This record gives sequence, structure tokens and C-alpha cells, in this order.
Amino acid sequence: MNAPGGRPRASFAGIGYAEAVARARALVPLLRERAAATEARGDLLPEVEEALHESGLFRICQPRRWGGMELDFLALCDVPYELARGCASTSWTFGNYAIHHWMLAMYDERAQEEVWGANPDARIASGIAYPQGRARQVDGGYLVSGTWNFSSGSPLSDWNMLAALVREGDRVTGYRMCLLHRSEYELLDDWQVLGMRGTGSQSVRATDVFVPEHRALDTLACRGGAGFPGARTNTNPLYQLPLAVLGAHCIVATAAGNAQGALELTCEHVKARTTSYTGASMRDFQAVQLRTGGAGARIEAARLLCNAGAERGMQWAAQGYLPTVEERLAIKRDAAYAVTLSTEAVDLLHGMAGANGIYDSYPIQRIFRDAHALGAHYQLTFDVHGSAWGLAALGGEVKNPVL
Amino acid sequence: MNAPREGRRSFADVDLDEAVAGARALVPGLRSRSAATEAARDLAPETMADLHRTGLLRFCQPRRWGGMELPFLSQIDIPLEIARGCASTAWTVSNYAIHHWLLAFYDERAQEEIWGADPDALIASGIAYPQGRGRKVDGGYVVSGHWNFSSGVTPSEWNMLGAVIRDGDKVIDHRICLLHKSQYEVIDDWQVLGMRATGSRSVKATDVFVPEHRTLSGYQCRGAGDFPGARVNPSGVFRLPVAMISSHCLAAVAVGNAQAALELTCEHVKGRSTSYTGASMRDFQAVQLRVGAAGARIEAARLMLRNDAVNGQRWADEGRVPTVEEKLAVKRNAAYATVLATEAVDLLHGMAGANGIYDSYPIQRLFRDAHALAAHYGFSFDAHGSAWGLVALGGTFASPTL
Repeated sequence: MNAPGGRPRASFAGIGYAEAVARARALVPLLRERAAATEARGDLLPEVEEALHESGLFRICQPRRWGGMELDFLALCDVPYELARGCASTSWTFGNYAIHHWMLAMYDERAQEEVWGANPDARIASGIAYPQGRARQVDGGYLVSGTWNFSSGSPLSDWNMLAALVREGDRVTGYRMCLLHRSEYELLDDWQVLGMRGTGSQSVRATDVFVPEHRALDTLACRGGAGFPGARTNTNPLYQLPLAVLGAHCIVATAAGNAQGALELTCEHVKARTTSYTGASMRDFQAVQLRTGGAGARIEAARLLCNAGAERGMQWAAQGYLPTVEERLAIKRDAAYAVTLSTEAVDLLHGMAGANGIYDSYPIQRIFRDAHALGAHYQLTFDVHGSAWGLAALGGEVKNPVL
Repeated sequence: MNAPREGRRSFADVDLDEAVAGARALVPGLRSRSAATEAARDLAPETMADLHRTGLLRFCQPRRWGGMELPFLSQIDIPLEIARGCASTAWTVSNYAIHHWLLAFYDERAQEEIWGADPDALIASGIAYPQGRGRKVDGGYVVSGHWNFSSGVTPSEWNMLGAVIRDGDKVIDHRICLLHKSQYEVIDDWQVLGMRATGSRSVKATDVFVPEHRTLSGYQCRGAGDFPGARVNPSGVFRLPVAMISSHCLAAVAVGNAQAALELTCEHVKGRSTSYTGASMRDFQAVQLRVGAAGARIEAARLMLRNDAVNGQRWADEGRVPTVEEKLAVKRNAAYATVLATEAVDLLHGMAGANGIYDSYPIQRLFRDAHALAAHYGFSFDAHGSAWGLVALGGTFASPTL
């Protein structure tokens, strides 16, 4: 049987971790070469999307019974990290599609059947950073309306996970992530931005859409443990990590990989450069060496912080341990700090590109814009997540119902 | 060769978890003695007794000598815990422990002379730079020099002293020479900003004959496993390149010291409120952000050091000698971890306000300790950040002992 689009339906259930990361690494030259075109298009390029489908990488965390790889959660850090070395926008969009497969495994199996049964390669976008939608319970489900911005990958999406506050009168009675089909929402082309232009993060709008219960995942059931409906069929602890704690790690990895891309391109470029008047080799200036070293150390620290969070999450899930609020907030603090370090690394490198660094044609320029655009994501903000952990460490109470 | 003496206490069955738990258990005692320890400018006698009792000076000594012979990760996790109680104590412990590790590289006769006589022997050093000079003579070297910063020298029986060996003007070797305390004099110049209890006094030696087997060439410690002690100590833990990673145990002290600053600050700020408005200090986002930023930096620093120790151990176990760029990345990381730890302490000390300048305010000593220890050459990001940068940019970095 063929999936829509004529691609033969493949299973990637036999692909192991090292192979998946190697496949991501092998795509870097293609992504780097297409990065400018991806940005200009404002969305994944067809040939890039096809290469990602063929590699099976979108499905690193999809259950094996649906032909996915069902790899360790760390794959949602290591794979986007590699891809971001080539193109941050592609990595980001990839991270979104891949983690939404992971999230769909938490839904009732009927939702999995409806989406993956029709097409295991289905592209699912989202609007879940904030619950921008509103819903009310009706017989058998919810009626949902709202405008969600920053829905990365939405132009190519078949489905969209949209977060909504459920109210009864004025009272909030629930938090649901509602799975809407492409026919049920419209796209608003408002994606004219500083950076991350290739992510196609347009706004989506829906009005009074009926979403059946099985396509409305209770966010409160995704705080760790096996309380979500999909746990019946997807028993791997992989799906038992707390969503609000680790849901952004795939894009933290994008930040680190983007910085690593800047480092590699800078080293390549500066290696051969000499100063105009004295002919001195650029690399013999200790100021240049220090910017390079400062970037390298920050990227290493960022990557370790990001990966350590994913590993700890897997450990908790495997042991059936529900982390304390302070432990949860520490992971989010570290994720935000990893992005801070990545941005600092890019700034150190872009700052030594001189006036060349402002040309649109200079690759570090896009990486610089991408770093600052992605660092603006709410989940990556140190002001928010650094201080939340600080408050908890000081004995204060942090109230967040979905944490 | 004689086997290690019978009847000595052995710690060969202690594993990493137990050793780290033992270190953690010392923290309250160390914290309570830290001011007195600093005033004494040497480790407290009861601390020394605790350390000997728990075996925490012998966690990298070969098992055949009754040591724990733990994986290299112990050189991060143990000093980090001890530094939560007292940075000077942790620094001195790191020195003693890593010199046991280093003695395993020496010819077995040197091990016999020291550990055969006393497996608890304390060994200080002067090896951050080769401040001595030596010349080859029949059966060994004649060594002279003045080495400063010899941490823990006061109770030490022996000292490992770095010397450049010359033939005329030509440098022919770099040797770490093991001198008995009867062969050098200690100069009490340890009046300093911080890390006072490390007793890092200078030592001076003049024309001391050091037999060949009590010297170790820096060229044999670069990860190839070609040091004399490899015959009897074949474990991977003794094959890590010395110049690559021997400062990591001290960087761990920086991280543990910062962690202590965080713990003491949280404890202190929890109950505080502002004088006029009565607002709880912890409700200020500026306060939360300083605490959060310190916590994130400490975690990043800890992960960097531990990751290097694990990678270094793996390379050694696989018999792979890391490239120059890999070695320099490890040194860059130690320096950056220390930068992060210092930033964390500064963030926390900076919110102590004027209370933070009192000698009686604990964070004050931690602040001085952080800046004093960060001055160690191994943690200079200027030096080690740029060395890696040069190589990453395709340049050549040459150091004979790397």
C-alpha cells in the first residue's frame, strides 16, 4: 500500500540510534547548500522534505508498531542538533513534526489509527506553546475556536495539535490539545520575520470546530507517568516523560546545532584569511582564537545541558519516578540556559565577521538572525525559566497546572 | 619485588558511590570548621583524621596498594562534594589524591619506597610549571629550584617537582622528580587572597640527587601508556594524558565551591525580607534570576567536567590517544567550567549586599576562594580557550608534554 503522495509505505522500526544520527549527519551538506533557498521559500523545500521522509527521521519517536523507530528520547536532541548544523529552519520544523509523532502516541489509539492508519508519514504541526484556543465541552467532545500563532510547519501540515482552555462559564475546567484536520483550520500568512523564516510558522485559525474526545488529549495527563490514553498500546517509558518539562528540548538542540554550524563555517572561513594591510594570518590573533574558543566551550556546555535533561527524563520515566517541581524546573532552566549559551556563541562568532557579516549572502548572517529569532521562543526564555527555578530553590511556590 | 605489606588497611573494595557518599557525609563537619581551617592555613587535624579514616585520600591509588583505584570520574565527583564543605580542603584532597594517581605512573621501585613504607603517605607537588632545573648524571638527575604553590606541603612526606632537564643549553627532557621532605625546605609565603587553608607554600631544593626511578618523564604521560609504572598498573585509569586532564579535579573544587555558595544563599535568603517594605526577598525576580543563573552555570560546569572524565576514561580503556585538538578541547572545558563557576559565585555574592563584605559572612570566603583558585594557570581561559581556538582554526599548537 502506498501512502498519499505515492511514496511506498516504509517501516523504520529496525533503524537503530547510531544509524539515525548518522543519517541526520549525512544530510548536513544538502541542508547547508539549500539553507538560503529554504529561507527564501519560507517553508521546507520539497527535496529536503523528501530526503527527511526517505531517511525515516521524521519518525524517530513514532511507535514501532506504526513503523517508527521508537528511539530513546535523546534522539529528539541528537537528530535536530545534527540537522541544525546545516539549516536551523529545517531542524526546527523537523523537531516539530518529530515530537508531534511522539505526542500522538499519547492520544487515544483511535486518534493514532485515524492519523497514522491513513498515513504514517503524516505531518502534524502545532500551536501549543500557549493555550491560545478556547473550548467548551459538548456531547462526545469539544467545540474549539481560536487563533494560534507560530504554528511551525503548518503550510505542509495534514493535522494540527492546538492547545485550548476548556471553560464552563468563566471557570477553567481543563486543558486540551485538540487534533484538527487541515480541512478544519485556515492558515494566515503572517510569517514575515527576523529569522527562522524557513519554518513556515504561520498562524492558524479555527472557528467552532467539533473535536471528538479521543482527539483531545488532556494536558494534565502528560505530566509524567502512564496516565494518558495512549499508554494502553504504547507502553515504552519513552512516552512517559513530562511534556511541559521536555517538550522544547528538540528546539534547544536546534539552537546548539545552529551555533555549531556558525562555528564550523567560521573556522572554515577564517582559516585562510589574512589582514588586508599587514598580511597577518587572522588565526594568529589571540582575540580571534578566544572568540572561537569561547564559542566552542559554550556550544559544548549547551549540548551537555540539553542532552542531560533528555537523559534524566528517560531515567525518571524508566524508573516510574515523578520528579518534584524543583527538579522539573531545573530541567527547564538548563534548557533556557543552553539556548543563552548558544546565542552567546553565535554572537561571538558573528561579531568577528566584521562588515562582511551584514551581507545577506554571508552565511553567518542568517545563522545570527536565526539564533536571535529562535531564542525568543517562550520556552527558551531565561527570564522566565531561570527565575521560576530560582523561586522554587528559595522555597517559594511555582504554580503551573500543566507542569 | 615485595608485595604490599600485610596488615595495612585496604580500601580496595570501596566503589564510587560509597566513596562519594563518604565525601558527602563530611560536608557538615567541613562547613563548621572552614573558618578555623582558613585561619590555620592548613587542613584541620580532625579533617585529616576523617580523610584517612574514610580512605578519601586513596581513591585513585592502585588496588594492589590498598587504594580504591576508582574510575577517573571520581576525580570530579569526590572533590566536588568535599568543596561543598570547604574549598581549601577539597583542593588539598585533590592534590593528595591525584599524586597517588601519578605515583602509579612511576617505576615500581618508587611506589615500593613510598607506599611500601606507608600507603597513606601524603605527596605534595610543584608541577603546574616546570620551575626546577636538572641535569642528567649517572643513575639519575641533579635537581635545583624554587617551586611555589605547593599545596598541602606541610604534612607531606614527599613532593613531586617539575624540572626542565638540560644538556648545556638544550632542553632534553621534562621530569617530575620525587623528593623526600628531608631534601627540600619549605618557605612560608602563603599569605593570600583566598584558598588559605591549602597551605600552598613554596619549596626550595638545591643540587639534590634524584635517582632515575624517582623521576617520571612528562613525555611518557601523554596517553600512550608508555610510562614505567604501566607494567604493574595496567588499568585504563592510569592511561589518561596527564597534561590533558590533571586540572579537572581542581576545577571540580571550583564547581563544588559555587554549589556551596548557592546552598548557603538559598538557606539565607529563604527567610529574609526587605527592611522597609517587608517584601519577601525571594519574590523579587532579580533575586530569582541570580539564583537561577547560578544554578544553571553550576550544572553546565559540572556536566562539562564529568563528560570529559568519562570520555577520557573511555579513550584510555580503548587504548586510543586523543588528538591534540581533543586534548585542547578538554583543557578549554576545564577553564570554561571554572569561568562558569566563578560567574555563579559572583552572581550570588553580588546579592549579599554589604553583609557580603564581613569576614564572618560565609559567602565572603567562598567569593575569595573562587577568585583565588580561578587564578590557577590550568583555568586561564585566555590561555586554554585560545589554544583550542588556534587548532580549530587550523593552526599548530606545540607543547612537549601535551
